[in-house]
Amino acid sequence: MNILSIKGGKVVDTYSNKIIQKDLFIKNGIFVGEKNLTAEFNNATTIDAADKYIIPGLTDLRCHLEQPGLSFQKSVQSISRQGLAGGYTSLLAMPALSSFADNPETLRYFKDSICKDDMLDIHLSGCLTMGTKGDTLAPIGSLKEMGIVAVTDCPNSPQNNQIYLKAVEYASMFDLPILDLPRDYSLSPDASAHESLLSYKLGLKGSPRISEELFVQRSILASKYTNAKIHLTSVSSFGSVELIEKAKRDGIKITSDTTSNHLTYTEDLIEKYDSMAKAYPPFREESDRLRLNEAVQRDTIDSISSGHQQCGFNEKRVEFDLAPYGVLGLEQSFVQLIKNNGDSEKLENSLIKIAKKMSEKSREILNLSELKVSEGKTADFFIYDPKAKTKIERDEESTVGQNYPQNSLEISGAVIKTFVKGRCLYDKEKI
Amino acid sequence: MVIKSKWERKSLIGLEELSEEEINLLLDKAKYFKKLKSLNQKIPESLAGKRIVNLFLEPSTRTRIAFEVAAKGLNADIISIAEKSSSLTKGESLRDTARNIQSLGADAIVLRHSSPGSPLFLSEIVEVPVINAGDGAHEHPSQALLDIFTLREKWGSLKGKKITILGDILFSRVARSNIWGMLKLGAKITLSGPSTLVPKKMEDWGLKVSYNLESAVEDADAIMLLRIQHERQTETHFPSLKEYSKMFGLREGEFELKKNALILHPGPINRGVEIDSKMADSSQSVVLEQVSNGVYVRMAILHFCCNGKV
Repeated sequence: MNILSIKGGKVVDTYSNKIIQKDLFIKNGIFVGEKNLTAEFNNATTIDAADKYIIPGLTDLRCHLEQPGLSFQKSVQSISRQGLAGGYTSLLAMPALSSFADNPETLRYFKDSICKDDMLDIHLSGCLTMGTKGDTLAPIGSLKEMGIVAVTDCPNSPQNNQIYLKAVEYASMFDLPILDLPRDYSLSPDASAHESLLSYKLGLKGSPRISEELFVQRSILASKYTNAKIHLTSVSSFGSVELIEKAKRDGIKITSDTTSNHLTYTEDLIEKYDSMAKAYPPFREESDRLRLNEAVQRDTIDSISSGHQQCGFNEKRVEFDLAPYGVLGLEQSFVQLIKNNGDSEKLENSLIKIAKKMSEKSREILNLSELKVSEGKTADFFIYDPKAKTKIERDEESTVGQNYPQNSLEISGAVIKTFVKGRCLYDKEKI
Repeated sequence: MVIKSKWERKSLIGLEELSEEEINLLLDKAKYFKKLKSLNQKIPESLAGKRIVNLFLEPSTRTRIAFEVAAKGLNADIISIAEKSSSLTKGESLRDTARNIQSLGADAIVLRHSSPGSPLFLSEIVEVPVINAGDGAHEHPSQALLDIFTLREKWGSLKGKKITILGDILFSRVARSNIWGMLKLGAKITLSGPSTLVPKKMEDWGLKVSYNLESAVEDADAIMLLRIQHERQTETHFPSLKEYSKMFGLREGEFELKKNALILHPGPINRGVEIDSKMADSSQSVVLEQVSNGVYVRMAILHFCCNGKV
């Protein structure tokens, strides 16, 4: 029997927007109310969480599971470790696994091969079109029967408008959220950076904002036309924010996220052609970053994803335009967005806001059950210590991805323990 | 000749990183080599015993040969490797190819590559100097230095001079290196060509963009034409070579140029497209001087980079 008590922690409730200090009791993976405590809790393992925050587990909306050159199992295990270290207790895997999640047999294989012990919850998405190629609809109904919770072609996006519209219409029949990473390829062929004065100076082919914004508007119109629920993932341009803001005002069922890295970084990271910071969408300019942050505060942007994609050192450390896209996000996503400069009011407001986006809203978008640190709920949560430090450094000897956008990083505040179904699967002290 | 400044770089990646003093240092050295040659005096064999590898992973004739001639002029050994004869065709990475070349005793690598930033990438991997001989649409420093050398030779200084760069700016490494170098030496730059190849945003670089050819060239002290790389652009960036020639081609008698305006072209020239033959061969054209100056400029680059701090 798994029995645990956590004493003195400040519990973040994103539903009531409150932080209340209280002791927590967990039995067999479920929070137990104080009035229901039995004698067995007298001998329970106790964790002292004084001056620390207890936060519902995060759910990621965009995570790429596969790392080329690494076995699928090993790749999934390392992503689970990274996610747990960042406070995640579940994530949505994009459908490009070691093969595409576009048929029930492949999905069954993935479900069976993902080891569930000591791991966070992995929810599978299915392809919107076969092989994410954008040519033919995937058997979405059959994929739903295999347990997918969303459909998407991410990191691709169907380029043919007819196929996209029909796919949206068809998927909505099964009440599955449709995720789209908006990008018109014809406007950004071979792009490896944001189109700007910097990309001109570097001689890199640029992805202009309009390449994203056109497809943001396409999804808005598709949602309006079909009444389907479409979620735009990883938006990066300030123009996209303006389009989404207007669509929301008009009552269109569109939701969106941006990534924690896009809220933090700009194109400056690639000034010296650092291919580790080559992301899709590309990091853009300060004006975009500021607008995205403002949109998060104003709830124009509903959620925040990690956009996590592992790339091996040898694969990534090549000529910039030949390097694959992809940056890591899971470990630092939450902590890097928290305002932790010694002002406790700002800290707590920021904890509520960011946890709401990364936990409550992400789950709402995916129609997943609520995660709350309260009686009767599954004990998926993490402990955040504002006084600890998160240190991240690229380790070029490691076989698992080290493509952090920055070479080294130290952040005030850290996730110190993460629990899935009441079990501590990450403990910073034991790493 | 008294050289005041010091050269402290190992590699030459681009003109972006060079100061005005460093550019002048290279140009002064090139001038010195050219003078010795004109006086029929022996050029010091400053690279005797050094082994230079030309790693050219994109087609090139004049740049590759100019580096070969320059290296031989300083008595270095030079080996040229073209893409087809390199192990890169067998899937070897640039990193491994370069490390192998270094292990075979190269004292410097001259790199031509289609990927922007590849010389910087290489310079972080190998210990020997890396000289950029053109990296995608990023930089072509030796070409820009020879262009600037040619202009400086004619004018004494570029300060305050108006220079128009005309043509395919978007895909041109020559344009980028010249912009960096010329701005540092105090020139005023105007870019011109079709709007699809000359982004207005480039004005934030501290220069002027004009889509009106007449006004772009009328008071220019020099006009630098860039080759239209028609293989890849005709479909999406302008309607046809015929239309390009009509709208942006430099033809004798059609524009009022300054009497002493110079015409430059990095070559190879598409005669009848960006310039007509009469103008290309006119007394205002310095195209062939550019080519011969290219050898002295590359001698200066090799001399400084391969001899360490000078």
